[in-house]
Amino acid sequence: MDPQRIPVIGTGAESGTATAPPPPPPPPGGTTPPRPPLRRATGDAILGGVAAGIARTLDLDVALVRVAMVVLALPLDGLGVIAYLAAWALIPADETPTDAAPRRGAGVWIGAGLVGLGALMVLERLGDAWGWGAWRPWRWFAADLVLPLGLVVVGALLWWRAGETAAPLTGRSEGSAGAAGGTDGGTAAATRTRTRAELEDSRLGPLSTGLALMVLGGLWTTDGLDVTSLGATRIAAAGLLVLALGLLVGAVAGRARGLILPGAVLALVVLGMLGAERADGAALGTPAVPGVSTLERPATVADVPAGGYEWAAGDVVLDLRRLDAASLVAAGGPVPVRAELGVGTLEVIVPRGVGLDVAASVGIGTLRVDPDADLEAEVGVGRLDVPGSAQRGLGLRRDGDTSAADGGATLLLRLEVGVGRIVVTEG
Amino acid sequence: MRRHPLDPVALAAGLVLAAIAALGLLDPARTRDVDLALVASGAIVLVGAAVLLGALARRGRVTPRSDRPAGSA
Repeated sequence: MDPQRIPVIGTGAESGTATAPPPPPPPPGGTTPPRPPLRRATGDAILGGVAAGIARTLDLDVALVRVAMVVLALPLDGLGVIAYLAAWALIPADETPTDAAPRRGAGVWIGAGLVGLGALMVLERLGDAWGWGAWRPWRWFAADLVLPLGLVVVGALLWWRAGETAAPLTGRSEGSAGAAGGTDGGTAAATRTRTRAELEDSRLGPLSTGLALMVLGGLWTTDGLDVTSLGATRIAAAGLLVLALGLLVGAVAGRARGLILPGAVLALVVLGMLGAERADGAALGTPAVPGVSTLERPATVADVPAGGYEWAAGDVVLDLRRLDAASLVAAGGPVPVRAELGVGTLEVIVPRGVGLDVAASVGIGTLRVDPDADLEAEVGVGRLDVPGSAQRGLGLRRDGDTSAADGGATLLLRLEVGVGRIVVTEG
Repeated sequence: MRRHPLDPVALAAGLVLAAIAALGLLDPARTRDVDLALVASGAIVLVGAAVLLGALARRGRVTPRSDRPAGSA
């Protein structure tokens, strides 16, 4: 058939001829066309397609929407991320790609990330200049309630959405019902068709993921409220157990292979935490821990290097118990001890009965100080455990006065670890 | 939820993850002697073997022509 004779049917956008494209039909009622309903544009998605969907509905450039979402999320602290996850869970998906909102690739996210990072730095700078103290926009991430409760909400939304997909699943199973009939007839093809339909549509995955998130968030919340004291390892293990049970059910009913990846990640987290707990237990044991890669035990103040100790990696015990009060006074005043470790565990054992002035920082990991001290502590990501306070999260800080030495019998500890742990104990 | 033939990959992964979860939930004093590196290695071997067996089993099947879309005939 001659393509030029094909009659134009429909809107004209999808048909028409090469020589005489018909003008688009006037919108009904002579008004502007209605906006498309809000759907996640997964065909143009970088993450969940939320921004692309909003851009499509509002007829905006998707890059602008993405940048605006990042910038607007900043004052909301961690809630912005939770809001995005909630939108991801709630807004139905539309996989149709659109030319109006082309995929911009990594450039958009790099740009948006730089804008966000720069804004954070500006806000923190302004905070210092205008006397807001140690205000940090991301400090809510460190809160023991906001993030876990957010997990519970997202998990509940996943359950809700999984329940809502029951009707489409049933409707879709018309094909699989026919296939099931074929199974009764004994054809392997029907069995494969039915299994594939279930593979695509099984609700077991979102149900298990939602329940795991609710368990994780719920237990994390009760731990944060001091109702329980399970600890991070057991909480993560409980969430992992839910995913494992989902997989075991999925092995014989439904389908949930998608749980393998998040389960594997969570399993690595649990194993890592178990390993870290064991290392903590070893480091907090007897001073001369068998197997530590380095043991430093200065006998006198003169044995402490003026420039401090430096190690690239390993497990280090710095035993300062021989530097008792008398030797510190005899040395003529507060004695500085500096120690830097790149990766590993640094345990510092201090003598009893001396003043302590500690400034310590850990990039990623744990900072634990058991004895009372004038303390200034900072942890980039991880856990800060000092007398009277235990925090987990990002940008942890304990501001103290480390400038006033208590007199001669004082140790000035300046400790730094990149990735790992600092543990200060009293021997 | 409809039953379907046993999925060995999901079964193996579920068992491995359940074992690791149990390890994390139990009293650390009771699991101190468990070699975590050995557990992780064994888990990888078990899941890898299940994936391999699943892939080999799929290769052994004959893809029926009726699986093709109707319009492609």
